[in-house]
Amino acid sequence: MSWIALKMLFGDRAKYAGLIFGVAFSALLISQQSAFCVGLINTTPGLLYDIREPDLWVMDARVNTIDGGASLPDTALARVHGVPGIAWAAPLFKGVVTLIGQDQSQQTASLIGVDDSTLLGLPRERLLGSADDLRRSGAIFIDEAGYRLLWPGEPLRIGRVLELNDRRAVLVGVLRSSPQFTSSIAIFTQYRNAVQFAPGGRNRLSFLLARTRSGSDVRAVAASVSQRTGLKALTHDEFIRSTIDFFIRTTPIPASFGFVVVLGVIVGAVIIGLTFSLFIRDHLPQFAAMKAIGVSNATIIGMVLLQGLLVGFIGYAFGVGLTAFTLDLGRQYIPDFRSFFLPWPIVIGTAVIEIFMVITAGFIALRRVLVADPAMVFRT
Amino acid sequence: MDASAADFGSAIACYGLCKDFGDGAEKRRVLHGVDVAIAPGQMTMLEGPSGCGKTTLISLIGGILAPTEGEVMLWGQRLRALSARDLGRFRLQHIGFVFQQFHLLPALTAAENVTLPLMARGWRKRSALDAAHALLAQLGMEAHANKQPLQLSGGQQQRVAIARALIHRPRLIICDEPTAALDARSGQKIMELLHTFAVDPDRACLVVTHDQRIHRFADRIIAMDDGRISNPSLPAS
Ligand SMILES: Nc1ncnc2c1ncn2[C@@H]1O[C@H](COP(=O)(O)OP(=O)(O)OP(=O)(O)O)[C@@H](O)[C@H]1O
Ligand SMILES: [Mg+2]
Repeated sequence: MSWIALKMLFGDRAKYAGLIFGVAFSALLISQQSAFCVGLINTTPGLLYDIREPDLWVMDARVNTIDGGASLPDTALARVHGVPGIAWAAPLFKGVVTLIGQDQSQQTASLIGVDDSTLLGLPRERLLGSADDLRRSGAIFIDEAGYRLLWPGEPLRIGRVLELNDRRAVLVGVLRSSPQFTSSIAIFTQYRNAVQFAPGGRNRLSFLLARTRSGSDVRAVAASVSQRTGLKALTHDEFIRSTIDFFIRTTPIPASFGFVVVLGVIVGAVIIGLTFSLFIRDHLPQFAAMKAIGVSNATIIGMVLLQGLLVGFIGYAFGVGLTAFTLDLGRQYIPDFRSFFLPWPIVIGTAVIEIFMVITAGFIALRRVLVADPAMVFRT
Repeated sequence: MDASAADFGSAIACYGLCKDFGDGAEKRRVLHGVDVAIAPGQMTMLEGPSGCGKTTLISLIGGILAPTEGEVMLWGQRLRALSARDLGRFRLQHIGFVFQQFHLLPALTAAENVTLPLMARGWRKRSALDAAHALLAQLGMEAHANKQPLQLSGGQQQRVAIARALIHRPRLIICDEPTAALDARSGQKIMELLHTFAVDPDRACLVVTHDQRIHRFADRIIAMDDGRISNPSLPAS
């Protein structure tokens, strides 16, 4: 009987297309908006994905995110050094600068100052230039996405001159770094240069990157750093979590994307529910004739479920496929989308929602068939 | 007649059949104690004014509606004794229906429509289609077997419907106004076909009709009026 169910479905082109559209549209909204939300939230730890050497991040107790806020006193470095279990510690500057390009355009960039001697904190994937050139005064590295933003369509080239907060900076290298939530351009320089570039030139020790001695319990060392210095010490993973949590809690990102996802569920449910009901209503005499002939309710339920699952599957494939395609386009053409992807829980979650919707719509519509009096075949 | 005097020689035996529609103040009795026995091997016609209860009676006989009172027996099987599920199986096994409005599935070809009772009984599509083509050929429809119902005339659609009613070799064929939607010529042809294929010593054929012109095909005519049989034993001339 399944081929009969499918022929009935394909025979009603308009509703067949309508059902697929409903499922595809809601699957697209749900999966794409969720993926964007996850992608965006995932950019908030940004730099944390690139700096892997330290296993402890030390910061002011009020700081929750990699974007920092309150800075540490100069003495913090020595005090953290003194905590048993710490192998090394290095300063990291994290701030924001105004950047003026050669064409006088103004941009805001995130400025990262890495340890003068070890250059700890400089992302490893370098496309152009040597890390040693960073030791020159006023020398900076820029991330590739930022370079493309400043000089669209131009080949990578070093030696360019920029103004950072009215100070001259020379581009000595291009590297690849994870996208950051707060700015599209990332500039890396030595700590002592960063302090010069930063507004007011104040000492801005944002973080201390620390490594525990091998074999020691990282959590325990973190606890003793906090205890001895009064500063916050988080492991790499904890800091990522803390940053993500902060953005989820304090920005409207989850709510606004969530709204569109809910809209996708509602609009999808309405389109699917109405179209399925219309489909069943139009085919009611046919179902009634089948019931009169003696086709069992179980068989009819199976037929409607099959019809629902098929449109569900095709629509879902279209919708999620389109999401994957748009994400792919985004990754290719929009630098800030370079880390966006389609996580499998979204792929599965969307499938579950769509299956739930078509099956629910199918059963609601089916009620009319199951209670339909087969004697209606004699009357109509 | 009563149930204890069951006539096992009859294909169909009805005892004191009553049917009410509606509830409470809306309740209306449409059949008032119908007793009737129908022999196999004959074409029995049921006629009477509109609204007298013909369709209701054949729905009870076909096990599509349940009587309020009374009993239907088909070849000695009390329909009341069957669960809803078994009644469905019984219909699928033993009864073929032909409706005034054909009720073919427009998305299927003629042959595919004919396979429906076989498919519902679990046949393979291939063998069901072979059987359908063979039967359609017997009914003079081989040229139209792969057309969809909407490409066929009313008479042709009704032939397909008759093939669907016959394909599983049921013992009872029930037709409600099979010619009402057709012109006179097609109606005659349909009745000729029904007479040839449906009338069989092991089979009973019950045809509801308004159409005086087809009375000549009847072996027996039962007249109904206001929910009662008005000529219980009148054989057709
Ligand atoms: N499901 C139903 N609910 C309520 N009343 C019904 C129902 N089915 C039939 N009736 C009523 O029962 C009476 C008999 O109807 P039935 O359809 O059996 O008549 P009929 O003899 O077949 O008429 P026609 O020749 O017009 O087809 C009619 O008055 C009709 O309105
Ligand atoms: Mg009628």
